Formats: sequence, structure tokens, C-alpha cells
Amino acid sequence: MQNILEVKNLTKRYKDGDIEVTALNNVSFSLSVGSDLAILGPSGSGKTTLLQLAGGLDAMTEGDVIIKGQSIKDMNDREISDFRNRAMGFIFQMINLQPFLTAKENVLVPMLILGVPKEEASERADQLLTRVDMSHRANHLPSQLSGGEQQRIAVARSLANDPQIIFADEPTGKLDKKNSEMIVEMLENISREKDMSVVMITHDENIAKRFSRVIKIENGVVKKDVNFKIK
Amino acid sequence: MKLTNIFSLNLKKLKTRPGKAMFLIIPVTILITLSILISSQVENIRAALSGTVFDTIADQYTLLTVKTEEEDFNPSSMFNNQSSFEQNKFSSTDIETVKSIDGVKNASLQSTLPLQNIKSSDLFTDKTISLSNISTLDSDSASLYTTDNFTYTEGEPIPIILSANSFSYTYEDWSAGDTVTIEMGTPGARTEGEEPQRNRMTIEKAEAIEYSKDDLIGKTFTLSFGGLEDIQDYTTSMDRETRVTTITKLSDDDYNTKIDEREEAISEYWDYEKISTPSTYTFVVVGILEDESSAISYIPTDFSNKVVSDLISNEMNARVDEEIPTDVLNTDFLGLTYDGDELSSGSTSGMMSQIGGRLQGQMQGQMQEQMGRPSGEQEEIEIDLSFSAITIPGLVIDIDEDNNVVGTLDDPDVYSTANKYADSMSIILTSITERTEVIKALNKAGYAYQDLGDLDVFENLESTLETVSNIFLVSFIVLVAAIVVLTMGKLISESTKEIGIFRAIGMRKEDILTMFVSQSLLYVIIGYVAGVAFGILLNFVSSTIVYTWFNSFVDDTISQTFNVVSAVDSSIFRDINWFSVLTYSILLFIISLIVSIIPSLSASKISPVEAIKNE
Repeated sequence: MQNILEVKNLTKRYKDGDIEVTALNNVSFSLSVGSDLAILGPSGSGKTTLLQLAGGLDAMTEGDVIIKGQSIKDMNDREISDFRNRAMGFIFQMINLQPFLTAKENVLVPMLILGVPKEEASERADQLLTRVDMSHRANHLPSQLSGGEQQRIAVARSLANDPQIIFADEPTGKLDKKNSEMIVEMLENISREKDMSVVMITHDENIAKRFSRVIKIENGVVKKDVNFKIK
Repeated sequence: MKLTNIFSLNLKKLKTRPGKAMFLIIPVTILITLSILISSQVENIRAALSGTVFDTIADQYTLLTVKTEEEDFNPSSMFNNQSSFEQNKFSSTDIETVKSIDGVKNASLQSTLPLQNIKSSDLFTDKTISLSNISTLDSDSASLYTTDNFTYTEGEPIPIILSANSFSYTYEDWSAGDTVTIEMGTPGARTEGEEPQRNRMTIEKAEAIEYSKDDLIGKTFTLSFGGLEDIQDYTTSMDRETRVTTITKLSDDDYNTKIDEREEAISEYWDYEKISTPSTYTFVVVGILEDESSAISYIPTDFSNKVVSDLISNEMNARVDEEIPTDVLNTDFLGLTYDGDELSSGSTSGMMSQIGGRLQGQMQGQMQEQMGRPSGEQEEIEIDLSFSAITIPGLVIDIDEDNNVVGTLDDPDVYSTANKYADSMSIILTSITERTEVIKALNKAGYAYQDLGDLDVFENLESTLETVSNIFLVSFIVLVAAIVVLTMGKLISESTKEIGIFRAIGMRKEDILTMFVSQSLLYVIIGYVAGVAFGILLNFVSSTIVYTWFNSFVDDTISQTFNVVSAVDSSIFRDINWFSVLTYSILLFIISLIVSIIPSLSASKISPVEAIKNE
């Protein structure tokens, strides 16, 4: 089975004043197309750093990340930006919607960046909003939406350009139980789609258990890599 | 990312968060408003200055009056070398020379009319004035003194520009009795040409006539030329020992005898009635000169030729005998003299030829007599200036190079063809800006001219306006740059999360750069449009204030220097200086574009990691 994501000996060091901190130390794993993965770990374990490096949001110190068979290590800004736009979807913690754009407009932005014709983009945005059950709030600004609603919009946005991999960084971290459940369910549904992989960061073991594979990170090192079920 | 998409994102940003945009929009609005107001009003004040005040001065400053260098008064040259006076005067040759100088529009001689006994009894009620100094002026030069037509048209009142200094009348003061004694000053203090002492020797007094310029302008009145001079009705004698002058009024009998004697003398050669009747012409006042230093009134050049010609014709018609013996000319009878070049009169240099002949002989005789005697035996001498010669109006005496009388010259056109000399010439410049250069050229050509024109008031205002413009221009550039950098810098620093999110979902660095540059330009455009609207409005509203200020400035400064200041129309201050508006607009957009790149570049460098940072 082809891998969507390959993380090879990934190391991230940065300087905090005079002290060199190793946030991530020689992490390696790979993820096959269409599979789902939860990265579990306490805060400060390096799991967010792992996601940043894997998503090409930050520069790695050592190692390599290969997405869809392409190494992102040597990509320039243009290439990595375009790659993020087309191949990846991101869901972050609160608040990561543009506050000056309506729900629908937030969903539209990745498509506008890609250059999807307006009508087509608008149609797709409507579909996505329906899919996350938010079509009734399409023209609301984020400030008029609840946390759960905002995060549903963020999910819709991450799907805008039909990416192969979705990175979610503690998307339920600031949500109540009901809303958390809804978001996790959505991500589960997405991961069930053909060719769509989901990588989610969480510190909640109960949520992590719902994923077919869990990698546990502590102090920047992979402690456990467990496959619960085969998709 | 497409520019239109970036732009629509910016519009949405503005729509939901107009408050932040105002930090840039409002300062730009204020700056553009001020730039329109200041640059327009600076230009309007300039226009008002040049359109009104400068026009006033321009008229006065485009005219140069060059005077001959006055010679030291030398009594010996008085009698012996008449031509030395003419050598120092300007002639048509000088006019040609001056006219050839670049920047000179026209030059003309202010030649004095060689006539005397010019009087008006109807310009002022009950008071006769005499115009002792009339010069000719061409219509070009006249435009500096009057807006009215200054040409002579037969059958119409002749335009005249009167000197207010000639508005006085003289009278004899006999209030102290028929005999008046006047003590002279200390011996030796008496020098020729000292006015006060001579005045003390007469009982003639003069009084200025009050006048109203507005009433006089446009008034028609008559001037008489020629006619016989008044006979002095008193005798003057001086005791050289005591230096006491005694003035004695003639008895009516003695006075009438003198008149009769004169009539008898004249009648030998002329029809007394004809020769004693002056030529009278109707004039219209087109200008009043209120110059303290000048008593010259002006008439059109064409008319001066006519009046002299009329008088000469009248004299020729009045002759009883065609031939007048040469030996009585310039002795018993005086008139104009023509030396083959210039027609001269008794005034200024011509006076010498008039006094010449018999009178000269008389005085020299007496002087020699005096010198031959021992001191202390000085007698009272009496020089009677009134009897010796009779001035015949219109009589032209032909003299040769050595001032010997040849005979009468019977040519009415002699004045128009004769060379004219003058102590001063009027030079009109093509423009006030040529003034300095022309004055340089004049001095180089030997016509000394000291430029006393004082343009300080205007130069000061002009330089103030210049300074205000420049300071504002520099402030504008600095402020636009500072405001764009600071507001955009602040806006961007508050937008790190927004930038991070955009970057995370695929926006390139260049998209971020374009987004913020275009965002700042969008705000600048909005501020600009509002500023233009406010600027036009404020310029209109402030026009009254600027107009009021300008008038008080004119009252306080310029009016004190110049008598005539053209009025300025308030509408001039409503004008917008579109050229400056364009300049400021271009500056605004260029500076905004360049300067907004700086914070926008730093915005583009914000890492997408910012989007994930959890607060």
C-alpha cells in the first residue's frame, strides 16, 4: 500500500535563549493512503512540533518529510504553499477562522487561492457547509458562531480543495463534550473516505482510541506506535 | 492568488473592521484636505498679488524716469555757453539708443512745452491757477497715469493729467501798507537759487487750493495759452549797506502809464488786440498726479504741436509790418528762440536767451560801475526787470550758433519739426521682470539710474508663501510616510494570526505582500477621496477668511506704499490649484506604495506557525 506520509528521522531543535531545546528527536513513521492517525501526548511532548513539520509549516532541523512521494524539505515557499493549499487540510485550535469573513467565505478562501472559478467554488462551499451541517449559518461571521460551529466551518475549509491529508491540531481542545464528539465523528467519517488520511493531535486518550493507529510521543520521542484496527 | 480575490478580501476586511482602517484613512484625509487648502490658497494669494497688487506696482515699476545729471549752477556759463545745457539734455538720439535696449517697450522725452503764461480761471471757482510746467506725453506713457484715452482729437476736450502741486494761486500781500521793507539775511549767506531768501524779498504769497480728486477727474475746463504777461505793479529796491529791501506799490497812474507804454511799443509792430488775446482750449481732466516731488502736468504730444503752431500763427497774423528790425528782437521784444535745432522758451535754459541782450548789458554795466568804486560808497541800485523787454506770445526769433539774432522765423510748424530736448525721459518696460536687466543696461549705456524701487513687502510675502509651501510639502511627505508605516505596522502586528492562517491554507509570501500593500493603498484611496471632497469644501468655506486677511494685509502694507491699489475679487480665493492637487495626489500614492512595502514585507515573513500558536 502506498504511503501518503513518510516521516524520516525527524528532528527539531531550537534555541530558547542560550539553551538548545530538542523539541523532536529522530521521529520516524509512515502513514498509508486513506488511513487515520492520532498523535497522543501531554503538552510540551513535541506533538504540535511534529504536526508543524509534517505540514510544512515550519522548517525541520534534520530528517525529512515526504508527502505523496514528494520531499518537502527542499521546497521553496511557493511550492510548499501551493502544496499545502492543494494536498493538505489544516484544522487548528480556536480561533483559526478569519474573523472578517463569513462562514462561507472562510470555506471559499483555499479555493480562491487555488484559483477555482467563483461559481464552482461557491457551489462547492455550499456542499461542504451542508456536509458539516452549517449551511444555515453560511453568511454569519465567526463571532456570531459558537465554538463548535466555528470548528465545523474549519473542517469544511480543510476539505475545500479535496486534500489527501488532513492535519488537525487538538481540534476539540476548547470544545464541550457534545461538540467534541461531533468534530471527532466528522473526522472519522472523513478518514473513511477513499484516499483521505487524517492526522490528529490530541492529549485525550479516549479520543485517540477511536483512531485506527495511535502514536504516543513523550519528550520528543516516539514512545508507542499502536495499530488498533485495520481499515 | 488573483489580484481581484486579494482585493475582495481587503474589502471584506474593511467592511467588518472599519475602525482599524480609520487610523490610516483619517490622517490621509486630513493631509489631503490641508494640501488642497494650503496649496490652493498659497496660489490664490499669489494670483491675488499678481492680479491686483502686482498690477498696481507693475504699472509703476514698469516705468523708469531717467533724469539728466544736474550741473552745478555756474553763473558764467549762464551767459556765455548756452549750448552746455543742451549737451546734458536728452534728445531723440538718446531715445533711439534707449529703445534699442532689450526689455524696453517704449521711451519718450518728457519735453517741456516752451510756453509760459498758461492759466485757468475755471478749474477752481474764483481762483486762477497757472500751470508753470507742462510736459508732453505720448499715449503709451500716459497709460501709467490714467486709464482714459490720452490722444488729441480735434473738436473734443483735450485730455490733461494735472499735477496737484500746481493747484495754488499767488497774490500780493499789501496788508502792511503800500511800502514794505524786508531785511535780508546775513551777508554772504545769499547764494543763487536759495528759495527762502528770494521769497522774503517779495510780497507775493501763494496758497494751496484744496481739491477733491474724485470731483476733478472728468471735469472739463479751459486753459489759456499766450496773452501778455501781467505787469508788475510794484518796484523793488535794495540798500546794499543795510541790506534792506524796500517794495513799493505803484500808484494807479504809474501802473496805467506802464501798460500804455507797453501797448504803444507793441502797436508799432503788432495789432495789440490780437497779440494780447490768449488762445483758449477746452480740456478734460483724466488724471491727477499726487507726487510730492513733481509739479509737471501732462498734455498729449499732438496737442503740444498744435498749440505752439496756433500761437505762432496768431503772432504772424497780428503783425502790422512783416519785417521787425533785428536789433529790437531779443532786446525790446522777447519770444521763443530757434537756433536751427531747438525751439526754446523763457523757462529753464531758454531763460538765458531771454534775459540776454539789453538786460545783460545793463547788469554788466552796473557791476563794472560798482567795482570801480571804493567800498562804502555803494549806492542803492534798482533793477527794474519789468520794463526792459516785452514777451510777445508766438514770436519766434531766429538765432545763429553764436546766439546772434538773425530775424523772425515765420514757420508755424517749427516746433513739430524742431529737435526736442528734455531733462528726463520716460522708459516703459515690456515687463516688471525686465526691470533689473534694463537698469543695468541703462547704466552701462551711460544713463545713470539708481534703482530705488522697493519691492520688499512683496518679496517678503512671496518668500513667506514659498516657505509655507515648502514646509508643508516636506511635512506632507514625512507625515504620509510615517503614517503609512506606523498604521500598517500596527495593523500587521495585530494580524499575525490572520496571516498565519492564510499561509497555512496556502497563501504565498507574495500574496501576503500584495494583500497588505493593496490594503494600505485601499485605505489611502478612501482617505484621499474624502480628503479631496473635504479640501474642496474647506477651500470654499475658508475663501472669505483668506479674502478678509488679504485685504487687511493690503491695507496694512501695500496701501501705505502705493496710492493706487487695484481691488481684488473674493472669488479668486475659491480657486483650487489643481496642479498642486495632482502633485500631492501623485506624491501620496507613490509614497504610500513605496512605504507600505516595508511593513508588508515583514508581514509576508510571518510564519504560518503563528496560526497554530495557542493563546
